[in-house]
Amino acid sequence: MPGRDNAARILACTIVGICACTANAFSGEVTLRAKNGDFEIKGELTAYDQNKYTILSTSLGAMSLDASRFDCIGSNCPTDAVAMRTEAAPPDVPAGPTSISISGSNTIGNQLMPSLIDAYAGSTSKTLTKVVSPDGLDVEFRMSGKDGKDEGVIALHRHGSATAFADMEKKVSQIGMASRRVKDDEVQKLAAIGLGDVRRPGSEHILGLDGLLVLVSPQNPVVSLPMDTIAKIFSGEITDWSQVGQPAGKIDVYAPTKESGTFDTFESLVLKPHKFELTPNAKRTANHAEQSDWVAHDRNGIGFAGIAYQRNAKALNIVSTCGLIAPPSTFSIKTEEYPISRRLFLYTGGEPRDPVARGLLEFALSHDAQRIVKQSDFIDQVPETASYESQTSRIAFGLNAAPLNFDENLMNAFTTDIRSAQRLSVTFRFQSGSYELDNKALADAKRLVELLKTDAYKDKSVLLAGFADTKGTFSVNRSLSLHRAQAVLAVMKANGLSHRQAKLAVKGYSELAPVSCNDTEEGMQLNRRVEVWIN
Amino acid sequence: MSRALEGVMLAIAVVFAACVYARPSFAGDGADATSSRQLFIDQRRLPEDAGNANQPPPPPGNGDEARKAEEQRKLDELAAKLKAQEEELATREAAARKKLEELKRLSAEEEVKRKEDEEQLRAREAEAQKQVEEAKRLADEARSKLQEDLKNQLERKANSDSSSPAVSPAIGNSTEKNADAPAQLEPRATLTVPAIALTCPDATVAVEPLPGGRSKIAVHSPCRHGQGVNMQYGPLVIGRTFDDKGDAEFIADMFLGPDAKTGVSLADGQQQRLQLVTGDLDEVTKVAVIWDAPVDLNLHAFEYAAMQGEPGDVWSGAPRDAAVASELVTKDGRGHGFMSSVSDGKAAGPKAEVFTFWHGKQPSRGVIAMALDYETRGTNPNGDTCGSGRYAQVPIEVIVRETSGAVTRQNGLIASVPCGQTLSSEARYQTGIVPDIRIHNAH
Repeated sequence: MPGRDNAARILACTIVGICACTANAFSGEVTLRAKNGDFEIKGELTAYDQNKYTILSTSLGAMSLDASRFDCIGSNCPTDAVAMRTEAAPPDVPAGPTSISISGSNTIGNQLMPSLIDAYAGSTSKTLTKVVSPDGLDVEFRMSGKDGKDEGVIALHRHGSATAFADMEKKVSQIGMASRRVKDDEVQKLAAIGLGDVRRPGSEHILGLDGLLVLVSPQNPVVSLPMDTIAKIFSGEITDWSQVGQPAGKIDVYAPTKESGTFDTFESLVLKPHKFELTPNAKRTANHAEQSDWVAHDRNGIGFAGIAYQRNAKALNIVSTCGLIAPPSTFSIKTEEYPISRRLFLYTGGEPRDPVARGLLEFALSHDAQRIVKQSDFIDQVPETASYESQTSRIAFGLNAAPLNFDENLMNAFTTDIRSAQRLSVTFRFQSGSYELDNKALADAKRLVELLKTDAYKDKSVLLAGFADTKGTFSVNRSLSLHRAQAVLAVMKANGLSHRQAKLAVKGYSELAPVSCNDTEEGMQLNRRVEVWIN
Repeated sequence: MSRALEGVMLAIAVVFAACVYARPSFAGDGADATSSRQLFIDQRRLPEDAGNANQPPPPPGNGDEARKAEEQRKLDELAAKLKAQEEELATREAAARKKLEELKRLSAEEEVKRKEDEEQLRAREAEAQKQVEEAKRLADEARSKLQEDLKNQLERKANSDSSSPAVSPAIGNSTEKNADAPAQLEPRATLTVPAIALTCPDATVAVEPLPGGRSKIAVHSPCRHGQGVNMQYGPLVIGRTFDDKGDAEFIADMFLGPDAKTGVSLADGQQQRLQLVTGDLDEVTKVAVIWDAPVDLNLHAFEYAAMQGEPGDVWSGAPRDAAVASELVTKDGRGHGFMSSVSDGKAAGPKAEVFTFWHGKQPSRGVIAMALDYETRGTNPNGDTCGSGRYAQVPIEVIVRETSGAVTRQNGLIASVPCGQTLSSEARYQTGIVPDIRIHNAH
C-alpha cells in the first residue's frame, strides 16, 4: 500500500538522517539496505557470520537480519572472506568424544531439557544412557553411536537459575538455563571473562514461556486471592486460612530454594512490590515437582511453581490490585499478560564452540522443539488466536476504570476495528518511553512474518495496534503507541514481509484497554505493547 | 456289429448257394436260367485273363460234373470261411461282453469305496462341529457367568452408592482378589486360540486376555508333570513347573504390546511361538523397568501426590491387583493402576516390574510420580551394592507404552553411592530415572 510504504521510507530516512548527524558517535557503522529497496537501516554492525547481520540501531535496538536479503554499504562492511565475531575466534574443537555441561534452572532442567537432549540425540542417531545422581539434581547423559562407540557426555546440573551464570563464569558450563533474565551484575561478570554481553541476540535465547502458579491442595476450597494477600501469606503476615475467609487451619508455606529462578521471579513480581520477604518458616526444596506434591498433599499448604509443575495441586486465580482477575491460561501466558508470566532462557557466550553444544542449542531453538516445550507442559511460542469475545472482559474493565484522559471516539474506533477480528498471542513489548523492540520481540517479528506467509493468513487483514502505559499525557501516549506499531512494521519488513503478503494497518490507541494495572512498574510494562489482530 | 456282419455273410452265402443249386437250369433249361447262369458264369469268368489264368482247366470229357464238384468245393470253402469268421466274431463279442462286465464290476466297487469315504468325511466333520459347538457352549457359559457377576456387583454398588458413575463394562469388577482372575471383559475380548498340539500328543497351549493389557497363557501336558516349562515375552523368560495335573500358567504383561516375541518352550526342547491377545491394552499406559543384575529393584508409583507407604503408593509390596485398580477408577473417575513383578531379584536373567495405569473416563489432571528403589542396597548400602562393588551400578532399561501404542525405550544406570552412608529418602527412592505419567486431559 503506497501510504504505508511511504511511512516506512520516511521512518527509515529519518533514522538514517539521525544516524548521519551523529555518525561520529558510532564505530563500525554500516548501512544495511534491503535488496528489494524497500527498507534500509543504519547502525553499528556487531556480528556477521555470512548468514546474518547483527546490527545495533539506536532507534530500533539490536536486530538480526538475513544476510541474503540485505546489501551492506559502508567501509566497515565485512568482505565475504572475512567473518566478524563478537569475541576472539575460538580454537577448533578437537574431534572425538566431547563432554559438555548445562547448568541452571530446575524448572527447565527437570523435564524439558532432558526431553530436548533425548530428542536431539535421536535426531543424530545417538543412544543415551541416563545416570541420575542420588539427590536427583545432576544427570549424566552418556552418548554412544550405533556401533556402541563412546560419543561423549552431556552433563546436566539443575541447582537453580543462579548457578547457570556461576557455572558459566567458572567456565564449567557451555549453556546456562534460567527461568529469569540474567541480572546486571551477572552480565558484568560474564563479560569480564570474555563472553560479551549475554543479553545480546546470539547469546540470550528464549526457549519457551511459563507462568508462575500459586498452588494449594485440591482439598482447599479457596479459588482466587488478591496479589497483596498472596504476598502477605508468603511473608508470614497472614498465618491462618481463616484470615482470608476460609476454614481455619495454620498455613504451611512451601517454596523453592533461593538459587531458583522461580523464587527470584516470585520475589520480584509478588513479594518485593509489596515490600515483603519470604517467611523463614517456609519449607524449601530445589525440586519443583517435589514441592508441588508436598502442597497437593497438605490441605493447609500453599506454594508456587511453574505451570509445568502444577501436577496434582490446584492453581489459584490472581486478582490484580486494580481488580483485574487473571486466570492462568495458555493465551494469557503467551501474551505475557498473566501477572506472573516469565520467559525461559538459554544463555551462551555467542555461538557455542563445541559441536554438540551448538547442535543441541540449534535444536532447542528450532520449531520442532516447540512441540517438546508444549509436551512438557510449558507454553510454546507458536502463535495462537483468541476471539474478540474472550478479550471483552479486559476491554470492559478498561471502560469501567477509564484513565484520567480518555478519548471515547478512539475507544469506539478500537472496538470497531477489532469486533470481527481475532487477536494473535504474539505481542510486542517495549521499554518505557521507547519503541525499541527487545530480543523476544525481534524473534516474534520474524515468527509473525513466517506465519503471515502461510495459506491460512496470506489473505487476511492485519492490524498492528500500539498501546502505552499511563505515564505522560494521552496525546503523547497516542503518538508513542503509533510509533511502536510502526516500529514493529519496520522490523517485519526487515524480515522479509512484503506489502503484498498481507493487508497491514498500523494504529495507536494510547492508554486504552490496559491488560494490567498501571499502578506498578510491572503492570505498566505489560501495557506498553503492540497487539496483533487478524481479520 | 457282429450280428450285422453275421447277417451279411449269411445273406451272401444264401445268395451264393441259390445260384449254385440252380445250375441245372444252366444246362439248357430255359433261356433266362441259361443266360443268368451264363451271366453268372460269365461274370465269374470275366476276369479270365487275370483271375482265371492259374485256374486249372476243367477236366476234358465229363465237364459239367467236374464243374459242379469244383463249385461245390468252393462253396464249401466259402461256407467254412464264413463259419470261421462267425466263430471269431462270436469269440470277440464274448470277450467284449466279459470286459464290459469286468468294468461294471470295478465301477461298482469304486462307487462303494467312494461312498465309504464320503461317510467317513461326514463323520469327521460332524465330530469337528461338535467340538466347536462344545467350545462355544463353554465360552458362552463363561461369558454369561461373568456378566451375571458383573450385574450383581453393579446392583450391589448401585444400592450402596447411588452417586457412582456408570461402570465401564470394558473394565468390570471382580469379586476375586487374585490378580490372575479370569477375564471379565466384553465379548470383544473373548478370543481363544485353539489348542495347539505339540509333539507330546496331549500338550496344549491356550491364550486368553486378562484385564489391564495382559494375557494368560495356560499350558496343559499331563505327560510332562513335574517338568519345567518356560514362557518368553520380549526380553523376559519366566519359568514354571507342570503340576501333578500337567498344568502350568503364565501371565504376560504386555508392556511391549501384543506383537513382542512370545513363546513357550518345554524341557525336551520343543518350542511354540504364540500370538498374544489383548482386550483393553489401548486403555492403559504401562511403565516397565527391566534389569538383569541379581538384585531387587522396586518401582514405586505415587498416585496423585501420595506419600511413601500411603494407599496411593503402588509397588510390589502393595501391588493392588487389577480388579481393585479397576474398582477405584469406577469409584472416582480418575486413573489408577496396579503393579506386576517378574522375579524377586534372586533368579538369574532379566527381571521386570511393570506399572499399569488405567486412564479415567472423566476429565482429570495430575501426575503419577515414578520412583525407583534399589531394595537390595537399602538405606545403608554395603558390600557389592555400593562403592566399587559388583552391583554398585545397575544398568536398567525403562520402557513406556502409551495408550496410542507408541513405545519409548531408554537406557539408564543406577549410580553408585558410597558404602556406609545412610541414604536420605530422596536418595533411596530416586525420581528422574523413570518418567512420570502425566495426565493431560484437564488443561
